[in-house]
Amino acid sequence: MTDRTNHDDGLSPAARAALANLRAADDLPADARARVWARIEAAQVPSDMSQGPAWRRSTGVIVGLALAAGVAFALVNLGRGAQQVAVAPRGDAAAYGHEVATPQRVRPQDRPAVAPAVATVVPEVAQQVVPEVVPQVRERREPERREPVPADMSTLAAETALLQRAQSALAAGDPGAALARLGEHREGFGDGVLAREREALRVTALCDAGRREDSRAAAAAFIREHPRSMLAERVQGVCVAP
Amino acid sequence: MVGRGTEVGPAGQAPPVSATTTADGPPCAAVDVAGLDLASVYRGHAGFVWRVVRRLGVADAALEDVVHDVFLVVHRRLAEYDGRAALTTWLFGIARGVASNHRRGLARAQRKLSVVEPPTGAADPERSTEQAQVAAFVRDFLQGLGEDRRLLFELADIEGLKVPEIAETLGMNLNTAYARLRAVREQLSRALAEREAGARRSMAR
Repeated sequence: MTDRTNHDDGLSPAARAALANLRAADDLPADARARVWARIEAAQVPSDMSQGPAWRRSTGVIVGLALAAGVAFALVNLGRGAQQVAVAPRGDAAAYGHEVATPQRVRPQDRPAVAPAVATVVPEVAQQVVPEVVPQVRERREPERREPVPADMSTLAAETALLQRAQSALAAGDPGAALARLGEHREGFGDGVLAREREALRVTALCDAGRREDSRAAAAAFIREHPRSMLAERVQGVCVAP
Repeated sequence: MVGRGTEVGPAGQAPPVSATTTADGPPCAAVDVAGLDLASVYRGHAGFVWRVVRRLGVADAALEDVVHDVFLVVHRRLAEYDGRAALTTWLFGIARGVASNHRRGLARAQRKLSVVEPPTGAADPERSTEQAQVAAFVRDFLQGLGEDRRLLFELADIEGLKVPEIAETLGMNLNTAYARLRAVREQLSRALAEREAGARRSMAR
């Protein structure tokens, strides 16, 4: 057969213009682009995580590898013992079949000692806020240049830093400090880019602080507010054990 | 054809993704897989994934979640990408699976919960503009096509994927794909011409 390509047979100039217009109208808004990337960064884990035992034996590898909020759920789950960890972002992840990471079982003793590092979006946060963190082992290849996310990165970095500190406090067994950091985030950023992640992390912090009823109420509020969020099902699983 | 192989960064420079996705290239254009990492794929193709999952029926309110999930899968599977197919084709396969599962999950959730207000088609200030009206017209036109035809057309003529790869992905005979594509193009061109003629007649009255 002849090697035909997508030449525009049958397409009028008006149709071409209309399609270009439609493509532009349907495009990804810059703020959404930034938000999604921040969440991707938050949820990233080493691609060799599925190697299981070898990965766990490595003292240099951090379990969650994410910034603030998404990974909070890894820590939540680690704190609850053998539960799922962060790659699969939502409870119905199994529905993705082979395309979704196999949930990892992690023992409490595998819990990372420090908060995971921030990846390429806001590397300066990782350096300034938690300089002691172990470098990430994540990408096979480093990006050739920093991700040019078209957002107010200073704000995003600040949000990230606060949530990361909250997460670090949780990891260190200090839910009171975590709640304080989350309060600062709420005060400073309100409905910021990571507001949803903050509220999800708060559910965990409340539970860890022994405020189980508050935690459940916060979880219920989260699910009510964000029923479609990937975090909703995870929040639902926090603080349910007697 | 409208599609571009990769998106252009904010500074106007092409992202460092060399996977060729334009339909003008050979069917299996060489792809520099060594230069691929998640950041560059996201930089180059987030918009593509966004538009594709929207076209696959994901509601506006869930687009961010689904795009996020697509790129988590991309992150996990990037090492498996060998460059034999265009990166966009590979991404489309992932997006299609994730969107499909999302819709199934959503259907389950909606059976359990009836608390969610569906996204409203609230006032879009642009709808009054001619461009927005044309976009709405084209959307309606596309919605009137069968799913296979619509996806074929959108992927080829809006996103710039190569027809042979689309046909393979959709399980469609290649000749059939070309024939359908041409038919849809002509159909759209006619519909737009009729719309334009109708508008002129209205103005003349």
